[in-house]
Amino acid sequence: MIRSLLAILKAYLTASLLRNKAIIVGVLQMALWMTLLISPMILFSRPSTPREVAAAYAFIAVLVFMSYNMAGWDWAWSLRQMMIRGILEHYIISGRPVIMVYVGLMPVGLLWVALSLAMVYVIMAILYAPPAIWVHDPLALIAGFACLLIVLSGYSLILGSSMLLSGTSGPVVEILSWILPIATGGFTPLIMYPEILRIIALTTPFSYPAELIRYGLIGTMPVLPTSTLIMIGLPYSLGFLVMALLLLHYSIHKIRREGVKAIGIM
Amino acid sequence: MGLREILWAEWMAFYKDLTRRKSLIVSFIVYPYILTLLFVIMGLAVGGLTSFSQRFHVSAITFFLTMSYLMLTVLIGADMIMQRPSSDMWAGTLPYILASPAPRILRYLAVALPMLAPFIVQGIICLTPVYVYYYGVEGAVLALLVVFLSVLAGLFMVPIAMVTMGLAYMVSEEGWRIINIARPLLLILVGVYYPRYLLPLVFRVATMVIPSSSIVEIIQYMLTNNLTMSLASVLLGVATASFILLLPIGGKTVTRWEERLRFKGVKEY
Repeated sequence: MIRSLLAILKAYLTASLLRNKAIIVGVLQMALWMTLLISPMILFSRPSTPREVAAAYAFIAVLVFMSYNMAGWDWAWSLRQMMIRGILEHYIISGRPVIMVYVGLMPVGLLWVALSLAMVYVIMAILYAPPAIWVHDPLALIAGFACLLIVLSGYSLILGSSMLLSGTSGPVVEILSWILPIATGGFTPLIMYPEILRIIALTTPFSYPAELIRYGLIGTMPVLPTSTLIMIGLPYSLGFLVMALLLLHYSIHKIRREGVKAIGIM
Repeated sequence: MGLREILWAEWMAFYKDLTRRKSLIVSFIVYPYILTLLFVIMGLAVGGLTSFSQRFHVSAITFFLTMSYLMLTVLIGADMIMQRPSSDMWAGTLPYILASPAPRILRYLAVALPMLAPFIVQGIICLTPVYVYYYGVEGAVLALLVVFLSVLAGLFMVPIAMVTMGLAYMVSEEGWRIINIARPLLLILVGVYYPRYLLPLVFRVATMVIPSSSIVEIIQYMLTNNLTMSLASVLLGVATASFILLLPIGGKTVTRWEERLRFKGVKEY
């Protein structure tokens, strides 16, 4: 099992970071996209708001956004790639659980996000101001990142399962990657949302990690006390993950019975 | 083989795919709104919408909705051409493309045109309600004008996309890696989200090579009420001139790449 995991990790590490200077191309590409998306922030700037604080908010927004993108495009999308290339059936026949693909991919995805965030920090510092981030509350920060990782795993498993069940296409993943962080307080503190949106966001497991990380890194007051956020957020995230695992199990079972769905290129 | 035949073939290929995948149609409509929401929400955290409208004399929602729509139009105009060799290679149709006697400039114009057509409908659906809300009935006319200029900006990306694609695939067999870098770079230089008139003069002059950047500037001046007739004529003239000048260069670059490919042979996947 461990050998298989290491083989998956090595394969993805080579393909997405090492082959043909992929890491340089990838980081450069990411830097340019982020410049395109971050530069309009300057147009909103108000003299009374310290630029470093504004940059910190944007930095957290980018962190959340990139995490969702990674879970959707790197983790979940790998299943679709396997379907497109006709590998999935062979993988299932090999007897290895599909979850191993995710586990092998996760470190590569996390490494990408870390590299990209470093690049975003530098771009922000050059274009606008260095984001004022510091560890405000270590416990909230650790709990926030733990929640985020669990929620992202669940989210990517659900997305992956839905691809297996229905052949969900690229635009759906793309739209979800944008809407979810916007709707659940990933980009802006929930305290700034209208009450109805705040309540909707809190009914999802996605809002808790964002609030905890924001408090842990820049000290923005969350909409609930941090202890409550942790008490609700962690079990909720774990429940979400368990539900996602059950869905994956069901979708593989269905594929074994009915075969893989037909799919398009994009 | 003339433009009509190639256009019909591209048209059918694109529309059959579009109508088959309903999610793509939904994403066409939803995308500009999602991007606008992203910028507005990030803007709220940074400074607020009032500071934006006081500075640019236009509401942030109108500006970013228009720019998001424009960005997608410009992106599709360029992207469908730049990623064509890669998709032809995967589909196994590249050898047939190389054997085709169709003039290359006509072919790539025919690739872009069907892709841009849905953006007319998308623009009308997305922009008109917001423009009418902010500008009254006149807003509908303004929306139509913006849609026309945006589609023109998308079409004007054709030659620069041909040059980029040709060069990228000449430099490397995996030209898509270079194109992945060129894609956001072109969007920055076109000035969709960060207006190029805010850039230093050197950058502004450099961006004039890209025909669409002048059209984007016309739309931005139009929205911020700073457009005069003479400025519009100059910018439109610069855009048209650079489009006409770049088109044969694009054709030559693509031909050179194809010649090399004929010599080396097409890779099969």
